[in-house]
Amino acid sequence: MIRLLSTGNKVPSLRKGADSEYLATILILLAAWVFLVVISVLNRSDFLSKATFSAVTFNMCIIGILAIGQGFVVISGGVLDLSITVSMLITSFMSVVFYDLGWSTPLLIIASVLCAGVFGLFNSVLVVWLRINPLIVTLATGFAGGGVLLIVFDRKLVDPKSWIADFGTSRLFEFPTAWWPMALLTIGAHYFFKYSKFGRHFLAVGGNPSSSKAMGISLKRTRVATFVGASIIGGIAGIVFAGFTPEIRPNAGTFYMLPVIAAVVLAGFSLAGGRGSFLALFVSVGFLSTIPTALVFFGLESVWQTFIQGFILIIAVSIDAYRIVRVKGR
Amino acid sequence: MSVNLTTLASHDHKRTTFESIKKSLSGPGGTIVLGLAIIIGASALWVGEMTFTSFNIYLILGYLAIPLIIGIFASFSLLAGVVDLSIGAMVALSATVFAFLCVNGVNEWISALVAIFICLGFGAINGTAIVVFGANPIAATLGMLVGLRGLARIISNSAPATGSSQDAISLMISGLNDFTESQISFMPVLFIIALALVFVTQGIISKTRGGRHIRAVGGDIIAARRAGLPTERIKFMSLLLSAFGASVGGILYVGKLGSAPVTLGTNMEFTIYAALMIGGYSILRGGVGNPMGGFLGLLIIAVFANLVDNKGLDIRAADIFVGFLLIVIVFLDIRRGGDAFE
Repeated sequence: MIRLLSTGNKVPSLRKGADSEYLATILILLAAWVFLVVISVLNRSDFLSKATFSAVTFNMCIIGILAIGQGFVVISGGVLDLSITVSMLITSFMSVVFYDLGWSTPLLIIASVLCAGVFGLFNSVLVVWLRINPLIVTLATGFAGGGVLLIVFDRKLVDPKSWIADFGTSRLFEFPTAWWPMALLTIGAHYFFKYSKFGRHFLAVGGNPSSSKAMGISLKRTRVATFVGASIIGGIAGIVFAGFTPEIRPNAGTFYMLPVIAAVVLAGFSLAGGRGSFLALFVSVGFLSTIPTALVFFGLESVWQTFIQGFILIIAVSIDAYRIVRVKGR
Repeated sequence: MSVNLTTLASHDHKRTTFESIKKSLSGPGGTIVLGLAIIIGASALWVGEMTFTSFNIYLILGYLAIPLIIGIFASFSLLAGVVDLSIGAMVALSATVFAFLCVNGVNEWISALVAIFICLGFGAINGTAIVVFGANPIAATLGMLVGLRGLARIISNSAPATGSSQDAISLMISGLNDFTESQISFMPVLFIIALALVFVTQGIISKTRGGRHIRAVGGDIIAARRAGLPTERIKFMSLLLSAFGASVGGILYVGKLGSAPVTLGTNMEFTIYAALMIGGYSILRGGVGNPMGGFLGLLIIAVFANLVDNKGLDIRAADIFVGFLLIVIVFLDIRRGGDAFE
């Protein structure tokens, strides 16, 4: 926990060779991914099929978008957003509510995503003005938010003839249509945090808040933008979620929370902030999304999936921490 | 009770009576007692005299007992500055392993021992990841949480079908059930044991050298290391203690419920840590908090859950209350000079 709170001795984000460090992470993850695919194919040759491809890409859709939102918070030094699945569900529920009101599609999407943004604003108010640690804030709002959703909405049915359900089941250039928002967001996030001045502000604040402040970056404004932005990205995941879920339930979020955090940690994002690559995140999401399908081909029940994912996360954070300790020379 | 807490908070200063009353109302102890008074008052106003019937008190205390035992053991790891989020899943794992072995004809005592040792093994994995490799405790134990939930489900699915549902192993162990349900007047025996544990832990934390060492490690690890304390071993042991508490809790739940559902203890880590934080602990830094405060924090939540139950409201309303209370308490702590974010 000391590591999480200290801002003193951190690997600087802009030092020489920072890119090659991400390259190593990307290559290791790719190797792990290829290894997983190869042993699955050796086990059963029919693993490489259209069905597998479609299962993996569908898995990637929501986990990928949520991971980008989570990565946004982590890289900006917001520790973790444990309420990001609530942002997702708010949008899913509100999109159904607006659809029932007969709103047009673009208006409906914008309005329901903005509802998630308002939730993010609430988080950031607690973080910035009450100065409560984001981990505690999002733990509380995530927990309370789930309760509120259950009481207000209980459950909602998505109209199977609606545009949204169509979006969830259709395909575009071989991939599911719902896969593309994730891919576009990945590219967008990569360029935003690497090349735009505004994006580098988030990295700077994540890496070293006090010197960023001395440089004239407003910490408050950056924090608000971080939590609102992450919630809006979570909201986009909510639109996709409404697309392929016939019935939306408030407890659906718990299923996604861990794979999302696992993906971010596995991609080499430092939980202390200031370090991370969104291209590596894409690869780690792909790797984690392949595991459930591979397990099925090994004849293991789907319950093994959570067991294995949990231990992958422990191993990943251990290796990550060990690497940092070695770099610092203790 | 408030005076008691205040003396604990400021044991090295002598104060006048007026100062100590003022201090006790604005200090953490005062906030908790005030919160408890408000929630009991609300319950009395809203539910009426039913709040104070001995049966209702029995219900509240019975609801409280096992989480209190788990929470007291988990508080050691909070105090040492390592939060263990996997306790809820460990409760489920311990219950499932215990029930699985019993259903397969293993002696109950041996089953219980095996369940405890398996949980200690996973506690040791937590310790290795966090202490030896220096992993972030929240991320590592979150992984453990999900991993153990999966494991509990795997074990439960492979058990011979005993009940109507595949998601629970049903078995009634009469001796254990009698023990968990027994009571002395309106006090469940389990609660009396838990309360005794609170007092013993309070003594260990505030009076013994070992307790001071744990607080030192949580409060300032670098200073503790320079003072020559075995910081790594203390952190490791504290994680083993929280695993032990969770495994005992799981076994007691099997006795109480007559089954081991795989969903047992879901969100329990949140409720317990929220209660401990209300009681003055922090999941972000060690070295603060005392078991008595944790007990009162859990009591607040138990009284509210009872209120929700008596009014026939949705049980998730308690989640909203806990989330809200957590924010308020942490905010008050920051106002008093606790560590603010930036």
